[in-house]
Order: sequence, then C-alpha cells, then structure tokens
Amino acid sequence: MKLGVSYGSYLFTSGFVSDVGPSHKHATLGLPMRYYEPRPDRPLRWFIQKQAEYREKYFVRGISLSLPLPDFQDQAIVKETVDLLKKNELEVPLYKIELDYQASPHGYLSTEQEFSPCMNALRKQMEMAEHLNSKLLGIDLPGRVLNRYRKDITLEKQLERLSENLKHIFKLAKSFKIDGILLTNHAGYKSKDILNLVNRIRDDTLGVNFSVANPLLNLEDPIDAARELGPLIRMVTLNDLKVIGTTYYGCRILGVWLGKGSVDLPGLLFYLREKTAGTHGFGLIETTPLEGSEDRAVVESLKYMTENFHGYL
Amino acid sequence: MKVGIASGSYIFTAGFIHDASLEERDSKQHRFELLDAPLKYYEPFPQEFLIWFIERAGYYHKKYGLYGIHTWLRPGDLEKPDYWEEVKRVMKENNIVFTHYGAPLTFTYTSEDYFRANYMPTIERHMALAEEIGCEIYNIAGPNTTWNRFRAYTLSMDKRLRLCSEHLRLMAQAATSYKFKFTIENHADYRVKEILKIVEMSGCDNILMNFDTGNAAIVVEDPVEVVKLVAPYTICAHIKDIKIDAPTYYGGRFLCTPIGKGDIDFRKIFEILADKSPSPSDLTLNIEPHTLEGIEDEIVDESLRYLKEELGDFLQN
Repeated sequence: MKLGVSYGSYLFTSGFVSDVGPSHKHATLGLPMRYYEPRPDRPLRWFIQKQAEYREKYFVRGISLSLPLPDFQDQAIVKETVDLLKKNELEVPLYKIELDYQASPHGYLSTEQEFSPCMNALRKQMEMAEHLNSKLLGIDLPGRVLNRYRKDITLEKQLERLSENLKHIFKLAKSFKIDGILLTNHAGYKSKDILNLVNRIRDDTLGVNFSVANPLLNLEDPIDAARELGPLIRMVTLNDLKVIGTTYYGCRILGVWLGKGSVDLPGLLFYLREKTAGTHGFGLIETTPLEGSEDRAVVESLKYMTENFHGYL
Repeated sequence: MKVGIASGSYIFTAGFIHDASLEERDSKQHRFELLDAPLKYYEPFPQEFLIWFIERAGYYHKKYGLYGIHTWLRPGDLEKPDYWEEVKRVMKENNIVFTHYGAPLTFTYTSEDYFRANYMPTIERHMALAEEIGCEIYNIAGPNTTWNRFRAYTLSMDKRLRLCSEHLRLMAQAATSYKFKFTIENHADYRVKEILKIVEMSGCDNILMNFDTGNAAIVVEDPVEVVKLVAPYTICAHIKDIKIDAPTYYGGRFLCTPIGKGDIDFRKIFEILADKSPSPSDLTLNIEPHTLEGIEDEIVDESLRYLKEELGDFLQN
C-alpha cells in the first residue's frame, strides 16, 4: 500500500466547511469547532506543499483532490497544481468529482432532464483529472440527501434515480483516459445498498473506495462491510471514528486521528490485504477531527501508519 | 406478544438521572450522559416513584391493555418488607404484572472469588425478593458506562468476556433455585455476538435473552440483523427507537426517540421474534423510550399508541 492524504482532511483549512450558518451547526453535530490555525491564502498550494514535506518524513506518495469549480477553471491554478505535483513527485491516484448543484439542484435525485445541465461541469472535471494523470475518479455520495433512512423518498426510488444518473457519468467517462470510477461508502447507504446500486449500473469500471470507518455510521461493523464489498474495493480511505458516550439517550460517533478510534485497523487492514485488491494501491488518510489542528491530525495519523504498518507500506 | 413498560422510560421522573441540585445537573458527568444536549423536562418528581409508576401503568392498562412492568430496584429497597406488601397490593389493584426485575448488581471486572464473596450474597437477596413479589423474569444488564466494548482497557476483550462469563455462571446457578426465568440484556455495553459468547462460556443452559432494539444500535449493530441471532433465546424485549443522525463530515449520533419516530424497523423485528422466539405469545415487549426532550409520560403514551395502531397485529393486549 502507498500512503496518500485526502484533501478532505483539511475541510476547515481549505474553506470547504464554513464557520457560519445552520448547515455548519448540523455538520458539526451542534458542537463548537475549535481550530487554531489561520487559513492559508492559497489552500490548495499549501496542501500540496505540506504533503511534499510529509513525502520525506512519512512516505506520502499521493493525494486525492476535489476542487471547487472556480479553481479548475483558472488555468493559472491548474498549471501551478500540475507543476507542484510533478516537482514533488506526488501522484493524484483519485480525483473526486462533484456535481454542480447550481446547475441541477436535485443533484443525484434529478430526473434525466434535470440532470443534463450537470454534465458540462462533470466533463470539465474529467479533463482536470486527465491533466493530473488521475486514472480513477471518485464519487462521494452526499449522505444527507442519499440516505436510506429518509422517510419522504424510499430507498428503492433513491437507488433508481441515482443509478440512472450515474450511468450518464459512466458513459461520459468512456471518452477520457479513466480506468475506473469508485463510489465511496460515504454514510447514508449500507454495503448492501451499494451492492444493489452496482447491480443496477453494471459497468466493469465501477469499484468502491472503501472508507474504513464509515460503516460505523450505518450500524455496520467495518470488517463485515469489507467482506461484503470485498471484490469491488479498489482503494481504501483511512479514517477513524470513536464511538463515545454509551448513555441512556444514545451515542455520538466522532472523527479522530487514526488509531484513536473504534475501528480495528490492524484487523481490517489484514483482511483487506488478504482478501481484496484494496490495499495494493493507495491508502488515503482522511481525518475529520472536530477540535484541534487538522494538520496535526494528519501528521499523527501518518505517524500511526508508519509506526504500526511499516510492512504494508 | 404483550406490551409493557420499562421504568427506564422514566429515568428523569424517577430521579435516576438527576435527583441532585441544579448545579450538579450542569456537571460534567451530567453533560456527558446527555450528549451535551439540554434536557428539557417539566414535571415535578413524584414522592414515591415505584407506586406512582405502577399507577401510571394501571392507567395505560385501562387505555391500551398494558400487560406489565419492568423496573429496577434501589439497594435500600431490600430493607423495606412492608413496602413490598404495599407494592404487591398496588400491582393487584391496577391489574399489572411485574414482568421483570432489573437487577442492580451485575458485572464487574473482578475475579470469580471476589465476586462470589462480595456480590453474590446481595444478589441472592434480590433474587429472593424478586421471587416473593412474583416477578416472571430476573434480568441482568451490565453497567454500560463503565462496562463497555468501546472503552480502552488494559484487559483484552477475551479476558473481559471470560471474567463476565464467570460472574454470569454464578448468577445463573443461583437463579436455578427460583421460579423466575433468568435473562441477560444487551445493555449498550457489548454487541449481541459478544453477549452470546459470554453466555456460551458460562456453560449454563438456563440463560435467556432480553433483547433491546435500541441498545443494539448504540453499540453500532443493526437490530434487524442481530435479532436473527438472539430470537431463539429471546423471551422479552425492550422496545427503544433510535434516530440515525449520521451523515456529516465529522461523524454522527444515534439518539433515542419516541417509538415510531426513529429509524428502527420494528415490523421486521417483530416478524423475526414471532417466527423464532421460544414462545411468541408469552413474549413481553417493554417500551423504553429514552428521549432527551419533552415530558416522559407523554412520550410513553405516544409510544404505546404507535405500537397499538401500527403494530397491533402482533399484539395480544
């Protein structure tokens, strides 16, 4: 396995999660977010430079990216990004594509007609992936919307619409040098729902970017989920969540540094190595701590991986 | 299947959560228990909770045909024989059956010898009291905030399960002297597979299951999946609903709701219990909605109404 770091580890630093508004309160489970670093002026450049530093110290070999629309329309940013990656010998094994929700407000639940305005932005993102020499595209399904527990739209209806829209994306990707499109088990759906989706789409390039901790958010044991998705796993996102506060009223499950949470990472990585193709490529660290420095969470997680799984790397 | 109420539905009203001063209610421990959320109850505490609870159960017997109650007892309750006569009288008056006795002492991580010497004498007194007041089931549930699969311990999981199986064996053996049935509950401490392993390691064949639907979710397992494993041993259940509030960047939370307002598929669970439990017609379903807001008694009413209206085809009462 080669170690990589996901840009998603820097949700706040990159400006992706804002510190205002009701959606923020929801995203942070109503808890205060306490970060201490100032945001860099150029988050993407800062991120790549940081990972170049960690290349030497912790064997980081790649990053995954998802860029906001204005960024990759700016040729200067694109050129700088490509140059920086090349100079620092960092790969982008996974480029995560995002829907343009301004073009299609219902996103993945749109009708065919509503979804078509999204295709333009998707095409541009695929061009960007080619620029960066990314062979795999990633899709993180938005768990708030695509969610098996919604009462207003059945799971069956969600999967039906979603699979139809994903088919358009797969068709478009055939025109690019893309080896595969990986769905992340991104909360909202259980492993069996993802399998259901895979069976509807039926495309050989479809795989799974297996987030090792996310099954906990869906009442699944991560090893059971890995067993279920096994043959489809082509990449691994390394995250950890801690189940805390077994109280009368429920529990809370929060993002922590790798090794500090409730995921049996040794057991899971052993299983993934023995039984799937998932650890033959990249393991992308994606930490989401609510408190403290996002960068420190990445560093501590890199240390944990290099100290405990040296033989895997 | 017959519907009852667990006194856990009234943990605030009973003073179990906080019978302390307002300052203490804002303490760190309190905030931890409440997941940092404010608790908003408005009722005064009743003078004598158990009598009040039985009378409320009597009210719900008339309204919904409620069968019985599951309640826990406080350590001092053992010393009050006259009180128990009063409890029995009120139960009879209200046509309520004492289905479960919630044992106050269960597991520790101590050695078998220590547990036998220091805990078993009191446990046996509780068993005798349970028998005397006519409980159908003696239920044990681990102290979940300390006895919990997610906490970091120096003891390995295997060692912890082994110790618990030794304690369980002592309790299960003592229970053979009484008429009640003996159950263990998945108490948001260990997962069902782990509980079943403890039971297996104890080597006792008189241990049955009190399956809690919400507690399974709290230890991150799907109640519909795990009820398939425990149904053959399940003679009673706690009905608790949970809202899966998960898909955020930073994690999620699973919070108890009134029955019917959460994400637990009770119809599927009841189908499995009706099909696989040892005696479905005798199975008691005690509601235990632990909600953070509102009036606990109104939530009980709403939950009982939901069961009656939406799942009445499974119920005898």
